[in-house]
Amino acid sequence: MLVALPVFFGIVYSTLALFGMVGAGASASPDTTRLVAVFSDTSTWRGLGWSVYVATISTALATIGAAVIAMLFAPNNRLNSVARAVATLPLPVPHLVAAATALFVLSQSGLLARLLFAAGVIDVPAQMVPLVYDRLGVGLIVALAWKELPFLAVVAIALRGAQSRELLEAARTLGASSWRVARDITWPLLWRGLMPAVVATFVFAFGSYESAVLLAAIDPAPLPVLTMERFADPALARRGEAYGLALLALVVAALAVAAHEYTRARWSSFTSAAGNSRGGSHA
Amino acid sequence: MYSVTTSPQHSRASAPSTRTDNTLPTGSTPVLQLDGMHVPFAERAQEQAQAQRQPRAQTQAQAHAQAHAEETLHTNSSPSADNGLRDVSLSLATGERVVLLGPSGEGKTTLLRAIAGLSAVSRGTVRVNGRDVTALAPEQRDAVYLHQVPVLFPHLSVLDNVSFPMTVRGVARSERLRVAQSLLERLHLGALGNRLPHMLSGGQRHRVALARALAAQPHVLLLDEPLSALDPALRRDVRDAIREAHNDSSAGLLLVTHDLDDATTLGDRIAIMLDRTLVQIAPASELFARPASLAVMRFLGVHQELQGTMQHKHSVGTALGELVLPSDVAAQLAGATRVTVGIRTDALRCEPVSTLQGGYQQPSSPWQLSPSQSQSPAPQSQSPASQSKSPPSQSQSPASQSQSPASQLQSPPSPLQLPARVEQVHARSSGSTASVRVGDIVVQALINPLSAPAVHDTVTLTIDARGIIAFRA
Amino acid sequence: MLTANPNGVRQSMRSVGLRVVLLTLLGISTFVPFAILVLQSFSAGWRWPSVLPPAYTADGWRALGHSTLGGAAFTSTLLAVATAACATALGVPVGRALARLSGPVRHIAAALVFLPVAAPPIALGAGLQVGTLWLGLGGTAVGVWLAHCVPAIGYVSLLMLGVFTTRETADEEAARTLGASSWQTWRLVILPTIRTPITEALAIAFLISWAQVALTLVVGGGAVRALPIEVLSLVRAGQDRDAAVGAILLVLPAVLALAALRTGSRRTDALPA
Repeated sequence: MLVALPVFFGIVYSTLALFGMVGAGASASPDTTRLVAVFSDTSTWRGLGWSVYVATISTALATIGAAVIAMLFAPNNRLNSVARAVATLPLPVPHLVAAATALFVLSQSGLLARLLFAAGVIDVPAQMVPLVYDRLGVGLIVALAWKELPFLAVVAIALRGAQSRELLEAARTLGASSWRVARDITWPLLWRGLMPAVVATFVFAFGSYESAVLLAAIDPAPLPVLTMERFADPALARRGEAYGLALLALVVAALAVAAHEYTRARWSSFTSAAGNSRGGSHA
Repeated sequence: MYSVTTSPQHSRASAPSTRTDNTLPTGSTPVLQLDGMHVPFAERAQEQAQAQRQPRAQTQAQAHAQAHAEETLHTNSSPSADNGLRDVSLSLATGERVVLLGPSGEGKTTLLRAIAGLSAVSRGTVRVNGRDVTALAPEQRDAVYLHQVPVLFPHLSVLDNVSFPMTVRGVARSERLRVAQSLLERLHLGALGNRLPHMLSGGQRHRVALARALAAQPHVLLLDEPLSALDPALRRDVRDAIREAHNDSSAGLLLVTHDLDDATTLGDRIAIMLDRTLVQIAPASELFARPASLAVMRFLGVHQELQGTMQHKHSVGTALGELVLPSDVAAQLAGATRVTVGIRTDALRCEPVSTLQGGYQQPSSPWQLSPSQSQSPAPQSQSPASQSKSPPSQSQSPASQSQSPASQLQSPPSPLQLPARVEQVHARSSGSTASVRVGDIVVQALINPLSAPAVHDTVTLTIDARGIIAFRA
Repeated sequence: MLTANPNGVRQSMRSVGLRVVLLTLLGISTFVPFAILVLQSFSAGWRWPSVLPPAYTADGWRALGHSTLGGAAFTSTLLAVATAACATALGVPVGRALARLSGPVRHIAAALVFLPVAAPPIALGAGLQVGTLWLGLGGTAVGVWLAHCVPAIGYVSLLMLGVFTTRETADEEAARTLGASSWQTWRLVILPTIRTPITEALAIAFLISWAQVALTLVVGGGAVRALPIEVLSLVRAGQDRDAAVGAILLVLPAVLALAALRTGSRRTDALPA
């Protein structure tokens, strides 16, 4: 209870601040101008959409990568344990460092562009395909996926290691090829265990301020960047809007967690044969 | 049309049941044929890991240990035959049930896994329905291996579990659901199709695993100790399930157990594995009547052994006096002088001296003296006549097959009777025995529980000559 | 080995090739960024179009002693150590209390603990900023420390919830029946058996604080110059060499902590390799 208190406090305060009832220039009666300002501003919704898009794509890429690593490097031998160690090594690298390095490598005058120049592909930095501050957020997605992969890989490797070998043997002897076993048994079971980590990863990617501020374009500004700008805005009224954006971010995170809890609850209850046999379609 | 039920000519009634050796009648292809198989034993560690894992909670450390065992299996195992199963040959006929029986640690599981393609064979061949599958992957073998603890896919419903083999074979969805449902009904699980495995009882899990195995339409079913580690009620349930599942299947069934009782109840024939090879393959009745070696005899629980010297062609001089051998046993010992004699417990009876003339009924037990040997003098050969005369096995206790033993013996030797003194009485729910002393020797003998002798009583010990076996010493 | 399964062997040969290729890619993706950071931190005048630094210098590192980076690293270390201590001290009992709960109460409580972990740092910062202002700690290192503790306690509690859920309580019961007080049971029985998870908890809480950007910015109001804040401004200012030095400083303790955990887990098998 105590642990969650600051969050509740934040929610209440943010709500009050959004309605202009606390903070600078507070009034006793609710004032909806900030609320209207936040939610009628298209940059709010574009920022939200952009943040969800980036977090979704980067999490999906990292999940696929982690699953491939966990499944391909499963049996214990030297090559595989080296691969697992290498894959999980960047686990504790901060988002900030990942983003900064991505900037060094991917910017228009970055190392990649210089390599292309050395190879004679481009002549001036402007010819380089923009990978940061770009419309598609390639640099941001790559940095986030790179940062998330080790975390998901650690979880996936642990899950794969704990999978019973008998289960895979049973599937083989019932006629499933090794590919079918991976598709119909290993992966669905892995996915069920990986789900919480994937949701957490999505939420972290969604809320990461430092990656977004270093790698994303000014417009659409990702939600965390937008929030921070409002917090620092010299106009006090606009600071109230920041609380609205913070609440919005909280809602998205809560929705992701709720969706996750719902899926897990559904899996553990009675499952209809029809719903269940689609398990393979995950792959 | 995907059909799991089999045509009548494959039904169990036609299953050969009284073959006494390992060859099949010419013209019929065995569903499983092993020739000179050598299987390296690198899986020892893994079997142990498997045993450790029995409680389902698996720690990381165990997972690592298991993975390590897997690794050694793939890298360190040597093809050397003295480190594993040696020269295993076996044939299974259509619809036949053979039980692989032997002490723990003999590699019975290893053999089953090798047949299934889950572990490597260093020499020899495995044929399934005439096709050499030695080099094929497990999924290409038409042989389904069932683990000791049923392994169900936890994320699939019961119906989808049973459909799985058809799913991977590309059977249409409606068709596989229909077949899976009919298999579930056959095993009395018709209402449980939508359940997830973790909601099932232990017996239900076994039934689902069996139904799923049948859905693969295998030529061979390989069951690894399905009855071990079950409480008695569940054991009966699973035993019934195995019979129900297999009864009108054409698949050959090879089942591993270390339990004599399960072996006699389930097996058309029993294959004894001792010292890492198959030492005898025979129907239960024959096995008990004529174990192939002293080791087999001991494994089957005949503990009454005596050293003796051949007197003349048909009798042996022992500490109990001169014992007359059955003629076929005597024929095998031609030329021998020193022999080891074994006497089956049910051939040893003792009765109070006063009631010797009373009607003592021979108790019923799996040890019932069997007629099969008396028909053919040499156990390793068979005549077509004897085969056709024999009733098909109903896979019950061999006791049900035996007719009156006396009527079948060509010249029943008269039982030997000796005075003996009771030293101890062992009352049991069935087959009470007494330790009685004859001279320097103490033997276990059956007693009539309704007129049990008291300790120190003098009784008459009767030795039925048909229960005497002898081997060259 | 005379294998029984040439089919399987052919497959595994193919997969060895695939795995070697993948391992190479993984190696590049893991090590090249670090190599670039190191080169960058020693470079002099490394810009377009040089693929490698034209000259090398240790100036960036030498300046650490008196630059803002050095001071920021010191601030961050204090913050992270204090956060690790506080979060572990509170998170372990909270996790145990959660593990003792059952039924819906447990799920609700676990969700509450998860909330500060899942909340985007900026959203969390919004509430915490006001809280620290109220306490008169706005813009101070202590205020930032308290703010860092909130998500860190959530993390550690969740970690410990997992540990205590699987932990058998028979040894605690044995200790109590043998006359140990509840405090003695903690000290002599429970703590020694959860030494590895506690090390993990310390490491995780340290890293949460160490890498924190948004919370520090919002609660510290720009006045608390922790290492990530300095690095962020250096990167945005285009001072790549100093930024690289800062980034390496940020990565170093993190990688060392992970290595320590791995070594620990090799003994206890608590983490996969």
